[in-house]
Amino acid sequence: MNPELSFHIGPISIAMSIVLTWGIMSLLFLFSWLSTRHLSEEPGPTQTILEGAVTVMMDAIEEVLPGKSEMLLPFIGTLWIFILVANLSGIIPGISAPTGNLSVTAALAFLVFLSVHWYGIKSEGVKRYLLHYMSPSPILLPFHLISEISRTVALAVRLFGNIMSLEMAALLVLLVGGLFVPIPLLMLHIVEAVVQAYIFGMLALIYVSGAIASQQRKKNE
Amino acid sequence: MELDWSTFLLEIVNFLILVWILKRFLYLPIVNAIAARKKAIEASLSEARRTREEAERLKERNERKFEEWETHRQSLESQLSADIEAERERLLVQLDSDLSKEKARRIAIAARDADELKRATEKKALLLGAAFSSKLLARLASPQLESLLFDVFMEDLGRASNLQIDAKGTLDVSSAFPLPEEKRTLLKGKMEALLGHPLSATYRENPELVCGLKVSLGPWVLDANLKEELAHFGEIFRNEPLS
Repeated sequence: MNPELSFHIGPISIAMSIVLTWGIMSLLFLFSWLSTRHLSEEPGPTQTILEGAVTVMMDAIEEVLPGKSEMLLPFIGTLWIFILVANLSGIIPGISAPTGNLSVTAALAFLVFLSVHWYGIKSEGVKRYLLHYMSPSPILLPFHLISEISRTVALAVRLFGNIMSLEMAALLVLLVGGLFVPIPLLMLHIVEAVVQAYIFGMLALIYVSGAIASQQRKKNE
Repeated sequence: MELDWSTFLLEIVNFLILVWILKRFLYLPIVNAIAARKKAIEASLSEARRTREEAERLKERNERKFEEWETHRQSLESQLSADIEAERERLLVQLDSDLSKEKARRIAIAARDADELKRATEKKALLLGAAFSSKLLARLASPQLESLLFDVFMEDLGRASNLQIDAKGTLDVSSAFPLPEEKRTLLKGKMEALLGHPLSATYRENPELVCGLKVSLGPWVLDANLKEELAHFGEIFRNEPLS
């Protein structure tokens, strides 16, 4: 399926990545709604797996930012889950992973960029947050700004490049080697999908924690 | 590989919606379930701790009570031992006393039995002696012996000459054998001399006297016969018949 293939709803062009995103959202909604309808104090297998996954995510956030796991879980957790599912959707024949679209990864990276400032300002206020760009010296302000932009671009391009290249490599191997030859590459795809989802979410967490922690360091000083 | 702004913007919106969906339908229920379970576990742990503390408190109280009971038991045992020892001592003393009393009683009984035996033996000996004497004197009974008894009677009457006998009436003389005339005269004369006035006298034979005579004057009775002498001889068995 061509990721660039799009249709229009009025003036808005809808790319296939957006359609796939809607599909993933629908699946996640249905799964979440169905699996959390009858939670009990004595969990079944599904509830145990869900609780384990949520606990692992909260623990990971807690290790980086103690005491902020409940605040950051919706954003960071959703990044992990969505990117993982989106990456894995590329394994299905005929479907191209939404994260293989630069617009999608750029949107995610832009949300991370915004969330860093959002959580930073929410934590300390606008003035004190903006002052940290001139810390320890105002001379470093341009470097801070370049860093903000470059790491956001890096986030978007890293995820896009990895997923797109994997799919491209699998397509090339399929064309050259035959029907079942790309199977080991698909195994690598699974690993890469998990690793890239983890890296994206972890980097987003580190960036947010950098914004919050720098304010907390100043507060402690 | 070019940036499509509509995709970019729609993806932002989609992701924010997905954040809300997952927060509403996944994270919150799961976190609440975990929190509820933690709360339940905490409640259970708290209850378990409370139960354990209660159990430990009960255990301590029971141990303390057991120690108190043990102390009380030992005290009671000591008291009981002391009471038993005192009771034993008392019983031993009482037993000694009872034994002493019983011993004294047995000694007294033995002495009484010995005395009774002695008395019975003596009585038997006296009875035998009396019987023997009665048989012997009965065999020796004769006018000659009666004559000797008469002489003894007269001699005793002579020693009693200073007696003031104020009696009147007939002098009644009984004898086992016929009293000779000269002895009758002698007896009557002696009696008249003692009384100082004349007397009328009757004489008769009485074999029950065995040997000797019996003189009666009014309320006065003077004996000089074997029957009365043997009766005096056997004073202690006065009621026993002579045989």
